[in-house]
Amino acid sequence: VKVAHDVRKWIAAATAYTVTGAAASGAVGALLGWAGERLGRWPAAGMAAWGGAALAALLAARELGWLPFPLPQRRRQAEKIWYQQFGAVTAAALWGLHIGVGFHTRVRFSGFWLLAVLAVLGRDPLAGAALLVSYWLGRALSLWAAPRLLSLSGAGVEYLQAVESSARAQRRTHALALAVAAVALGCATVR
Amino acid sequence: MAISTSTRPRRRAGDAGGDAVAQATWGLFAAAVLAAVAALPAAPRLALLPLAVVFGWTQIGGV
Repeated sequence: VKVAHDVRKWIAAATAYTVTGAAASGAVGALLGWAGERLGRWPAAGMAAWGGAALAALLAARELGWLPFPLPQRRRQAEKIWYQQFGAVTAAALWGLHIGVGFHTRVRFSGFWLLAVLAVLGRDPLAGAALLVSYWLGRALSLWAAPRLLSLSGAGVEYLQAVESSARAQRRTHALALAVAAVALGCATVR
Repeated sequence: MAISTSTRPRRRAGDAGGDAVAQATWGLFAAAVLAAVAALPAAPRLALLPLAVVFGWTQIGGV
């Protein structure tokens, strides 16, 4: 009974985290798109896509270690004390809100900044929200996948230990995804 | 007393879990690239959404 209760609590907490994070990410993406709308007609759509492609290529080079430079970010982490103060579900909802904003916490790799810039250049609040909500869903997916991945590994280890062990693959995949984004943005300019 | 003569480095406990996470990452990336390529001709903007999911996933452990 205790295990079933804990599973229900875990699902409630993961759902709260996912939903509040999506709301925060969507709001930030919409705000960036709205800010882009205020820019007016500059830069032109083709120029914006080329700029996005160039930025994606630059960031891919960074993640491959060819062009190291620091990312603008706040080196903060989610407040762990909320768990003691508010309990698992409310704390998870607050963590979702906090982390979902994106600019409040540590940014490990640079793809977030590409999406933030593209949300502005897209000049469309809905498109900006879609970009950052997609990003958030990827972040939340890593939480939902944790029990399955740990049972597949059969190692019985802590999830964060497993994640740390895969850091190199994460960075390479991130770099490749940035390179694909550069090509996609480049293709968008020649349509 | 048995003494191991293996010269292979011992795998840490987290390595098996790390392999599972890395495989899931590559699988997600492959699915995202397929989705992006499918979306590109009709709607280039939509092509970025599956890649955004990959950007989010790879922040795993970053908070």
